[in-house]
Amino acid sequence: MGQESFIYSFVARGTMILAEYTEFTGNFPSIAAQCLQKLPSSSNSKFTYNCDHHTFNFLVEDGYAYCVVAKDSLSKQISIAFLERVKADFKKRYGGGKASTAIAKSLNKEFGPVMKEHMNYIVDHAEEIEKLIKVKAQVSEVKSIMLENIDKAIDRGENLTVLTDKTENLRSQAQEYKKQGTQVRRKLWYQNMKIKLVVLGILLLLVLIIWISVCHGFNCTD
Amino acid sequence: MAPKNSSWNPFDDEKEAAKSFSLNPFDDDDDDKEVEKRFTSSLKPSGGKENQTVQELESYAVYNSEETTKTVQGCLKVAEEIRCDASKTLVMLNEQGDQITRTHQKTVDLDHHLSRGEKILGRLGGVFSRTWKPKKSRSITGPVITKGDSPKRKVIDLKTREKLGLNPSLKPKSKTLPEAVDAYQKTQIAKQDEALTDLSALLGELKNMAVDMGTAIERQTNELDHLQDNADELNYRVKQSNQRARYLLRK
Repeated sequence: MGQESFIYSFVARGTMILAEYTEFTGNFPSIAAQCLQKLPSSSNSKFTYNCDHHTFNFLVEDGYAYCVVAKDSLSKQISIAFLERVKADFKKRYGGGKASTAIAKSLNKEFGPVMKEHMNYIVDHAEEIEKLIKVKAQVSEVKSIMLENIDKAIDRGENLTVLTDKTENLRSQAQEYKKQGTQVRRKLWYQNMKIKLVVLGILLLLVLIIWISVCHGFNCTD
Repeated sequence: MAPKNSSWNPFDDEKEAAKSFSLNPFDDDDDDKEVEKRFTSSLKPSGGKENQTVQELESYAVYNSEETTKTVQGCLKVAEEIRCDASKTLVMLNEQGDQITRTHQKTVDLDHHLSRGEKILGRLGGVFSRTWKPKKSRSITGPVITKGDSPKRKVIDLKTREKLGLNPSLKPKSKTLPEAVDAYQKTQIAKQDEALTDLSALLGELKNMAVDMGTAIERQTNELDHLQDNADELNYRVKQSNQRARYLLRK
């Protein structure tokens, strides 16, 4: 990766550029300035615009915009890593209030070389940075999957609670069923016994009647 | 690890500074906190890194690189612990899945027994009474067997993983340190790179495990929905059977 990967960089407060740095000549500062005008300043976010094999990367935070123009062969993550470094350094140097009162391009002399340093550092350590970015991305991916899993597990927990209530209800119903089944069985057993006894009684009565009619009384001796 | 000369001045010439600041970057026995205190106290008041001697800056660089290596290896250790916990969680989820399936199967058995009970209850009630038939709102289905890998597939013991070359065990730290700071830095960077590569591989594995967990939980949630419907149906039918039994008892 050559030294020409980063073309131009600036830091702006709102739409006012406070510091910029470039080693090249071209119309990219004006295009970047146009993009800056269109940026929604209220939100803290990252934007990337593509134009003529170049990417215009913006990082907007707390009313300050950090921009870098890079060749589109350079990955977006590397550009964002550069902007994050510039942002951290800028806040560290001018966080006390100097940046809020600075006029247009007044920090060029001070902060321009710093941006150059960061550009060189990022280009020299692109491989390591990409590796770190990859690991970070993997971590956030695993984290997001696990957060989804937590939501799913909570839903599952709720389902289990509902199921527990339903099975508890079923258990009490089943116990009632068992109790009533036993009672029905007992009742039917008594009914059955009653019928058997009645039939037995009738049979005994018939035998007795036959006995009496045959023997003309209880004395049955010829 | 405080400097021998208490009135140490960062603006002294290098020889003097070297005398007063006798820190060996390759000493393993030094207390980290003391070292850190020494570096921070020597760097901050004297106007930053610009005013430090080459030896001091080298020592500071060595200290920082060691700290970074430790941090990265710490991350790796944490990731391995997470992997271990994730394996246990997957096993547990699998067991719970089996329990849910068994419970589901039990509802089918219950349905079978209840049907027999309903038939018997239907036949009872006297010679001239109409045969009682229970109302069924829906049929009870057994456990849903879904295609897809079992979460068990991810839970391979670590020895097997090492045999397969999936989990290369961390090489023991080499105690022999190179003489030149530059060479030492390079070994530190190599260690960090290796640890980062391992960490990346571990994170890939953790992602797969997390996806498996999600799949298992989803599958179980679906099965629990079916199970709830079955429980509702059984509840309804047992209630009906109870009413029938009460009617028979009142007769």
